[in-house]
Amino acid sequence: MDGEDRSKETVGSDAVEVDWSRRSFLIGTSSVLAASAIALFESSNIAKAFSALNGLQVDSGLTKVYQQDYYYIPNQMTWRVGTPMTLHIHNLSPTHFHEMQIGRGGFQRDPNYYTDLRIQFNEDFWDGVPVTIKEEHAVDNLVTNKAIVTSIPKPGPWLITAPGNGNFSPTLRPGGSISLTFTVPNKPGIWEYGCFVQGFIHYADGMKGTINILPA
Amino acid sequence: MADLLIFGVLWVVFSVLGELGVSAWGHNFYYYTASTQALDGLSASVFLFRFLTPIFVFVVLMLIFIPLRARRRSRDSVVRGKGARFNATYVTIWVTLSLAVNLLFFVHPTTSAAEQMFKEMSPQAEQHDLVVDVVARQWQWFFSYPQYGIQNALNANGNNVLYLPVNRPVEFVLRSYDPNHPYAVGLDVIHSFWIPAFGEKMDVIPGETRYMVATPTKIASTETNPEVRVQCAEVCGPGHPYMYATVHIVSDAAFKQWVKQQLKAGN
Amino acid sequence: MSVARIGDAPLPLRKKQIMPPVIRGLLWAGIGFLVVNCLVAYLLDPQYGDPFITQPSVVFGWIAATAGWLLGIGGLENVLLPSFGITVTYPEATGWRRYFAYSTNHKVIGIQYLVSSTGGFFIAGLAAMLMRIQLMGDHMWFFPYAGQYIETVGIHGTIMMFSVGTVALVGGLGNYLIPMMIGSNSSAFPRMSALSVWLVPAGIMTVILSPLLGEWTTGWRGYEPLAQNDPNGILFYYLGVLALTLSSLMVSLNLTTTILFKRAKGLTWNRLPMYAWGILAVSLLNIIWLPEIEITFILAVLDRVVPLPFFTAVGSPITYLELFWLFGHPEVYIIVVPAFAIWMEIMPVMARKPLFAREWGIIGLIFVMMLSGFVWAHHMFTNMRLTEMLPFSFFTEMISIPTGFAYMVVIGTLWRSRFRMTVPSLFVLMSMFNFLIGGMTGVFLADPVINLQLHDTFFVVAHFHFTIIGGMVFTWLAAMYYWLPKFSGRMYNSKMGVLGAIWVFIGFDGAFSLMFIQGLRGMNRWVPVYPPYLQGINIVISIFAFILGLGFLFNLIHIAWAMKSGKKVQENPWQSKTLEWQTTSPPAEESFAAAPVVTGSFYDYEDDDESFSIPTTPGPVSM
Ligand code: HEM
Ligand SMILES: [Cu+2]
Ligand SMILES: [Cu+2]
Ligand SMILES: [Cu+2]
Repeated sequence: MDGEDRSKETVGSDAVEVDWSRRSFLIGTSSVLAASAIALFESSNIAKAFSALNGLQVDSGLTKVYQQDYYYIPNQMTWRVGTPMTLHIHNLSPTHFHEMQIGRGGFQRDPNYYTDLRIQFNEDFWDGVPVTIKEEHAVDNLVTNKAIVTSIPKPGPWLITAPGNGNFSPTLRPGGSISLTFTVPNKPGIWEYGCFVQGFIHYADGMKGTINILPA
Repeated sequence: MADLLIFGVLWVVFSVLGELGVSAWGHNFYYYTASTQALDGLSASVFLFRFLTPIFVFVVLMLIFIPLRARRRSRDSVVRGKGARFNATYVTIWVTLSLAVNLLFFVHPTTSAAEQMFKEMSPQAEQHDLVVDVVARQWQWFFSYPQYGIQNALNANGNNVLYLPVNRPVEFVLRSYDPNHPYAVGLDVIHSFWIPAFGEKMDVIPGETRYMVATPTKIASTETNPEVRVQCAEVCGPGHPYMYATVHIVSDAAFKQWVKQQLKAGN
Repeated sequence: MSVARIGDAPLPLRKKQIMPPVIRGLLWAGIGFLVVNCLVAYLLDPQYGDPFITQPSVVFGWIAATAGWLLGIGGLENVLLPSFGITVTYPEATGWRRYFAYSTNHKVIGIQYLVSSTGGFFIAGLAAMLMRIQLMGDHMWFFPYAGQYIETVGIHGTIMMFSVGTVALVGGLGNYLIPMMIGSNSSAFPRMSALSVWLVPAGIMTVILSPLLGEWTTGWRGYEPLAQNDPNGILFYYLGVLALTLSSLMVSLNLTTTILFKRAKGLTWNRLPMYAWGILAVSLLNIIWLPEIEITFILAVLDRVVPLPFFTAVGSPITYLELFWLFGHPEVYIIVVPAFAIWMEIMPVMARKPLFAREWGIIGLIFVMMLSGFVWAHHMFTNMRLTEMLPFSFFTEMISIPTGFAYMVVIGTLWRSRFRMTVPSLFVLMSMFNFLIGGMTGVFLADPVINLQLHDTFFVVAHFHFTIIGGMVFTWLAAMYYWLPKFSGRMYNSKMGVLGAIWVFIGFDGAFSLMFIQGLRGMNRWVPVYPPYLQGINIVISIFAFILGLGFLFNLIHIAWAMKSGKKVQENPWQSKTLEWQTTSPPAEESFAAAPVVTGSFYDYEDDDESFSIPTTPGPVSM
């Protein structure tokens, strides 16, 4: 009953009416709705635009790539042939391990009942490239394939040099990281990077990015 | 009285038609059955259909019949409806019948079929079963056959595959972990082991071991009938839709042959 | 801003210009989020790589945003400041503006709830349409990634359950009608109610924006340990559901108290309308079970954010499942109990006959309410111990008995009545038919041996849509057509109404009855891709689903049109005896000029027969 009385009081007595402009209301609400629709449906394109801006700048020296579930930050990079680089890969996921392959030239596929999943790139970017592992933390494994790898930290069983284990790729445990030092080899063009772990599903779920390597 | 009579006749007629329909199509309820367990589930379903048909017909007929009758009556001068605000006979029959039907359902088929399942899963019944260790990880099924020393059954493409001999009870031992990354407990989620043609599924739960028994009754494979496949039925992440494996139910001789081939391949 | 007092200068129109409360709320929400999020992410708990949003920062930021939203909408002047003893004049808005502002009028609040719910229904319905488009192909072709599809399923389910299923008939129609039906001019806690309604848009918005944090894939049940394993979007699922359930909890506290303490003179328990009984039963369910799920979700948030491994592989995943369904099964009765009550409210009016076996109807509602707490694990036959199966199967089968009482009462009422086939009656009949199919298929699901085959397939999807759309949404439409003259003083067009009913009936039954077959043929849930042999049936289902979606849109437009420009009707076009029809239509600011006194039953259409053809204020009310 008290609530009832008080609510009457606010309406009644001094007979003031509130007013607000119809226009500001309509513009305000519809712009919020539009903003959330854009956030929802266009977030990936907006992110793309931002990373394209980021991609305009040529990376050199220390370059950081973060792994999340299931995407990379950044997902677009520009490198230049002959630049010395340190690629620092850090897995920020608390639960999932992730890898980073770089390649092009189409995919090897797994003809599956539902779809043919992409297993790995046909052409491995790291073929014949000298790479130095500067530091490592919680690395699950690093398949060297045909890269020429020197490791400053003492290599453990995680360093897999035997052939037949697929493309060059460091696989990081949750929270793991690795720094790879190399000079961008003379392989200009558009390259893609991706994570093919867990039955190739990370890649199928969008964990990928592109590198534009400019000629020297 | 007339209302009651017409209604009764219609009810009997449609119920009989319904029962004929159940006889004709009821056994198609499970599209494809390839195990004794599926057959048990199917016969329980057909039993339920038989009993539910007259009840369904009764209610639906009421919902259609009354409005139709009432439309005719609305030409009468009577403005208000006739009929009681309570009828002890009707209420008594309704309450008693619904209690009786539900108790019946609980005894048969629910308890009787469940007892059958419990018996199949009892330790005494599982003496000479084929044991298949099933490991589910995000997003893949692994099958191993400890009695035969097969660590990880693979087909020619290197995909996981399940081979079963026909007419022999199988005990599936279900676990959820990642054999390749045992440290990664954060990856262990619930999956569900389902072979549609076997008419049963069982969840695979991290940290626990679950069992499912099945006795395949038909020689079939995923290629001959897609319902003979392992399909993850519980959502387990973005790879859930892809989490499937092919199944082959083969003759005893073919199974022995397959075991030899797997051992030779070092699986 | 609006806090400013009016100056002494004489204002010609005595109008106070303020920023629209909704806009102010959004602004404060945005500011609250930014400040608190940055505080946590950069100062209190910075994390590696300096991400702008971290799990803790987004949780605290969301709490600040919700507080900002509620204060901005009017909570500051009307609730917060007064509770510190500071009084501020904050006049109520008038006209259309009051629906977008803080209002303590239960009718305004009811409409606000209905509008939010309808918004949620169409947003989640759009999600369903997107899902059905994807399912027309057997491979990924519409959605880029499987995770996005599964997340869409989860958003659809979450918004439908928590902002439509549990809200439309309780917070919406309940707030509008219950005080009037019991002869009161207000509800018990109008200020709490005025704020609680604004948690609904906040909750819907939170769930919709969850993809921004990452594609969560658990579906509406948030199953553990997948929830711990998923990307961060799951946090907005927890928080959104938290806002929505808090809103429902407040509605229930308010309406229960209203029914207990604000009944008109002479309105004894024996005379309490069926809808009030339904709301009472559902409110008790809410008051018992919503806090339970809220605590569970808070544990799950802590599980991720701290992290504390309550429900992960090293904790106990099954415990979460039990806790979820402990609430989850009552939830489905929260959705459908008010619908049963509305059947029993509308049918005697249309039948011109006393409600048959009224006591049994009430007993049914109460027993359904009580038994619903004993059946939760029938959602878990595939992962429980064998020894648990039979008890849960038993209670599940038994709950169909009190559920059946609603049918017994309605059929008894219709029998030999002078039934008027109107659009509301048509919708109620369709609802009863569809819920019957949902209930009968439930008998199959209650049998563990059959359940092991049907669980997690589209058979279950069909089953629960038959109970929810069939039971609740069809009844919601019946109620909207039935009370439309009350809301607006106008009538729908009956040809359009019948067309709308048949349209959604065909779309609904076509789409969802085929899903039973599809599930039996091996279509599992939460999949955007499936073996090719299932494509044909999926295409047909999708076409029916699009028909259904357009049908709902048609009914929405028709109802909106009728409210605005339908034919004007007399105050009590159905010659109903319940109290809400004894006021003007639409009701005045104060529904009853003088407190009504109840002297008889609301469902007696026998006593003074002939008088009913003349629409005067009849019956049991003397003012
Ligand atoms: C507009 C018509 C609707 C269509 C076409 C539709 C369709 C669907 C589909 C295709 C699914 C996915 C099933 C799966 O893969 O597991 C689904 C799930 C679901 N629907 Fe609907 N639905 C509709 C309306 C509703 C309504 C009105 C409600 C409740 C008020 C509802 C509640 C749910 C729930 C709770 C789920 C489960 C989500 C989950 O698994 O997390 N739906 N619906
Ligand atoms: Cu990855
Ligand atoms: Cu799985
Ligand atoms: Cu799965």
